[in-house]
Amino acid sequence: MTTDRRQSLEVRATPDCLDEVHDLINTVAAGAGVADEATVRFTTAAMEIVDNVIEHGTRAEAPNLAVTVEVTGGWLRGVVEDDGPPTSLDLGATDMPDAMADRGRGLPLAARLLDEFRFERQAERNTWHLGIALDD
Amino acid sequence: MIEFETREGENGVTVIEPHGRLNMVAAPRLRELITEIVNGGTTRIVVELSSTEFIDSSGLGALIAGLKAARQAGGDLRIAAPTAQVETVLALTNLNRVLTAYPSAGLAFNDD
Repeated sequence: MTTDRRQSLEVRATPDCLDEVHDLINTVAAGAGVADEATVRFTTAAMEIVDNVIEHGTRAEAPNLAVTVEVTGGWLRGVVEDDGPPTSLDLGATDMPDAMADRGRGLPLAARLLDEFRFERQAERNTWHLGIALDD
Repeated sequence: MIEFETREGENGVTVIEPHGRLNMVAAPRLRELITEIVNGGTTRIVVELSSTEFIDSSGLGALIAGLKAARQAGGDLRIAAPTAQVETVLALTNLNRVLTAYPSAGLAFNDD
């Protein structure tokens, strides 16, 4: 059984923020009593999304990134928002690249890990919604 | 911050042990390290993952780039002792077909 938890942070989307976002997810999930397997799936997917935001910005013009992680109603959910350039992608395109390709697995991997995965571009912001249904 | 420990194994094998999170900050460092090792003449490499608490797709990319570099030089790159998170990611990306996990670094090149 989990207990409700919610926590957010706002950072510049540079590689320096990765550990901070990772730690936030671990803190919320552990505090709420989320099972390790669900935490692993969520963290892996969320970090791919944050990687994607960082890759679309530059260090000189790093987007502002807001991450909210929440456990409530039997779900582990995240919202990742950034004010970087528009991201256009097909969340339905979940085919993995060739085995010997050394990139291109991030979003297909996230899509396979998540029970809920939505993206929207509104008011010059990219917003990603991620969710894992919890077993309890 | 991740640390890479490197040691000489048996039969001319070099073992790399990443301690920490193998993410987009760490992945380029792993790529460079493997390139240096291959250029230095060692083409049999084991990446020991027992203390790699997390890997993302850029970390996977570094392993695949290392695998290609080692094979092009006539050797191979193998992985050992992955954590549950690494195993999950390898399975979901189908990379467990090209990166077979051995129980320990010492067993990775035991068969040849």
